[in-house]
Amino acid sequence: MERAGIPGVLITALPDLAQRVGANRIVAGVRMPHPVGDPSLPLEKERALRRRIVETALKALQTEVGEPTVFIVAKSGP
Amino acid sequence: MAKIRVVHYLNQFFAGVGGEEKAGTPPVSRDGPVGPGKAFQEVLGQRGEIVGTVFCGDNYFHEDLERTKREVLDLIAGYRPDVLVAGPAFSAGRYGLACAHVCLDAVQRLKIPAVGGQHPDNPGVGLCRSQVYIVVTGETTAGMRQAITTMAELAWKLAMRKTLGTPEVEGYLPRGVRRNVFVGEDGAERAVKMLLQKIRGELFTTELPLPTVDAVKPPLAVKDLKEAVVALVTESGIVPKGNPDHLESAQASKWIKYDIRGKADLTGEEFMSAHGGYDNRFGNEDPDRLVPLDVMRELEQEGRFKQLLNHYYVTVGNCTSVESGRQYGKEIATELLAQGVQAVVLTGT
Amino acid sequence: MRLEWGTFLVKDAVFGHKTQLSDGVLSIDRDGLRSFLAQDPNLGAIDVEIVHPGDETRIVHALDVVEPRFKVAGHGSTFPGLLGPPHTVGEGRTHRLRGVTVVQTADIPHRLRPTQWDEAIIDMSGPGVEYSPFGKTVNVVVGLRPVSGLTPEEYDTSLLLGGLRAAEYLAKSTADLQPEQVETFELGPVTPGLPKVAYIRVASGTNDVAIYGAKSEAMTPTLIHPNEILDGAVVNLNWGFASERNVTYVQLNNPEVLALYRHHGKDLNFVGVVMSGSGARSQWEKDRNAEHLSKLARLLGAEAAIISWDWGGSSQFDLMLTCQKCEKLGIKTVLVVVEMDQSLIFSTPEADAIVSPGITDEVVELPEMKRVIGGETLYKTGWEAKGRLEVPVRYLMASTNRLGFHCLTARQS
Repeated sequence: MERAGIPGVLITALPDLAQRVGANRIVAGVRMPHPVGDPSLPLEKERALRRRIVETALKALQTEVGEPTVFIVAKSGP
Repeated sequence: MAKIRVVHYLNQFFAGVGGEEKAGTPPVSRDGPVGPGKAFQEVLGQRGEIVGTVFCGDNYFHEDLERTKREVLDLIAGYRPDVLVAGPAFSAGRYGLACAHVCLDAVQRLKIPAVGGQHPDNPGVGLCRSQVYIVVTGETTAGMRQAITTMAELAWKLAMRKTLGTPEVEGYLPRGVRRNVFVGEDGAERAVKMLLQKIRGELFTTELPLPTVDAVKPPLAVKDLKEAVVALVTESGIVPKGNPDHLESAQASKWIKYDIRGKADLTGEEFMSAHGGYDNRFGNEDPDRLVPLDVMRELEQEGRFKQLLNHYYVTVGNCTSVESGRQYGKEIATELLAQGVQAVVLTGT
Repeated sequence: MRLEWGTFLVKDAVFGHKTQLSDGVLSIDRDGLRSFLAQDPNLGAIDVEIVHPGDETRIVHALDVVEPRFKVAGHGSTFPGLLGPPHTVGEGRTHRLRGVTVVQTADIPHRLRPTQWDEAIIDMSGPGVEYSPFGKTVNVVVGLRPVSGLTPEEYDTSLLLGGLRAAEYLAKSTADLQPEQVETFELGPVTPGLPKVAYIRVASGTNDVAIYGAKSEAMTPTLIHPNEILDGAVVNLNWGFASERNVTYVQLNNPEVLALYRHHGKDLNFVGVVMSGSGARSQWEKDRNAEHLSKLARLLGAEAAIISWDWGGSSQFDLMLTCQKCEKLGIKTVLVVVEMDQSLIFSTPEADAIVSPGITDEVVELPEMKRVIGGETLYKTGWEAKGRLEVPVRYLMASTNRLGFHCLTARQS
């Protein structure tokens, strides 16, 4: 998709892998079975976390990068 | 198969028509061998016959590529060959490319094997090496006899469906294709021996060379997100419940798009995960954990971007090849561009 | 730790009134085996068949392949943690029947199948024999049909235990016999100066193996003595792609452990095994696992290591991270990496020494068979199981398995 000129942001639980295989805008997600969610959190907090991740993704889309770059979400943990 | 049927492709020069001044010659066929084809016939002897030779001027070939390819292929097909040989073209670029096109057509349309002969730097090599057996030649005609002998032996083996040796033994360029072979020792014993070589600082050869990364230059950032149409794309295998389109849980053969117009979020009642590579419980419970539609809608309403695309695109990345992934990405990109999408949020597992 | 394998060579297996081994012929009391397995109330119908190399027979829907084992002396039990308490094995004597296996099959409706089931074929004649190591053994095929209404976990457990119990049942018949061969495994002292080599197993799928009966998911990497592996502490739980499946037979005869034992004291010093749990699902977890694995190898004093892995997809990342961290600690590595779709999704430059157990996507042609056991049609494709098949190597049991048990590799062509 990027080769076609559409900027994309990849949300993944394996940001380093994504970086090394050449994805350009990467956001660190939570875990592989739920990159934009965390079942261990109460619903409200989970949704807030998802929003933070997606907001980081939107920010990444608006940021110029010269090489594969990982954007970290505030307070995203294991 | 008593005798294999071979068709030989040449350019106008090797067919003896003339040099640069005759490069505009349209495709012609002649029964039997012509020019270097005579040497081919000698090597094949009683094992095969060059039933026809097709040649074309190097300039004519590239003037209207699709038309020429059709014309040449028709001439070749008329001889009902078991195998096509083309060249050798050495380092001649236009001729090499023409040979590559003709060989690819033979493989893809006539479903017969094709053998070329080119210098590794010839641009024709890059075009066709994954599907065509290219015998390595020098830059000039000095090595003609050797090239023809190797090409003829290879063509015979391919037509007879013989098992080939390694590229080094058979004299062709590795096609970038890997095949299984049985060897004398199990993998573990080979691993111990390789490790001992590595420990001792001896030469060792990996059985799997590392691939090179396919780097893509980062596209420019989205200037005005507030005016942008954004699409959701995912390899997480989130599909409507029951997986109506049978998206595979691994080695996906396709991508699919699903309508999300009017949906505020993805619920476990309506959607599920068809991905075979991770624990699906969390995604089945709340698919938003994999495709964040709820939050995207919220942000859309707040005007953070103009509009979310009416469909999301999905495939499964579980053991799906890089090649397929590249293909799906390309196809999805074509659709997104047509719909004016300016940015993509992609979730992966 | 000193383990003795008492090996009985089995030339043939037949049905008889009593389960016993005499003159290399294993006689099996079919009803006795059935009623033994019926102790599991979750199992309904149980079929037992015997197939021989050369038979025009195809086994489909195979789940696992188990070598018959019975622990006759020493701490622990046969398949500890599953058929007995989770007590440490690897010492004493264990009987094994060589040349015969238990293959459990299950024909389960699609909707009840967990997502990771995949078709697994064993052909007893034709070209398939070259690919699956179990085309050359006498196979006791135990067809299991769990009762309806079970949870997926209950299904899996019943099918797993059914296979292991059958294997124990067959080998138990040799409890009072003297084995023909006795092999001893002990990490004895070696000439100083031999390079110290560890074996690292990266498991990272959803369900790869059970270690002493527990799913290895989320387990912190640990040290395990190679004898524990040879004595049944690790069994297969993975019923995904057949060719890559490290079936229990392969776990019990772990080829890396056996190869390192063969070289122990000759040209290297085998210092032990480091094993990870599966289930690392984020970079943080994978990073943590790889740190532990490489650290434990260093604590063993390893100067070099063979690293194998148990399952595909993102665990390639675990594998490569472990390789990288080992090499940074000065531990030279060789990796065993099966090839899917002709490419690695991820690699690190340190992975310069890789053994390939073959490529899973190459298509092989299998002839029509006279008899098929295990089911009538193939999973997913719905093809008639008995007919002529063109299938990827992936369908052929353990043919490209990830521990390098077989003599297959892939080369450029």
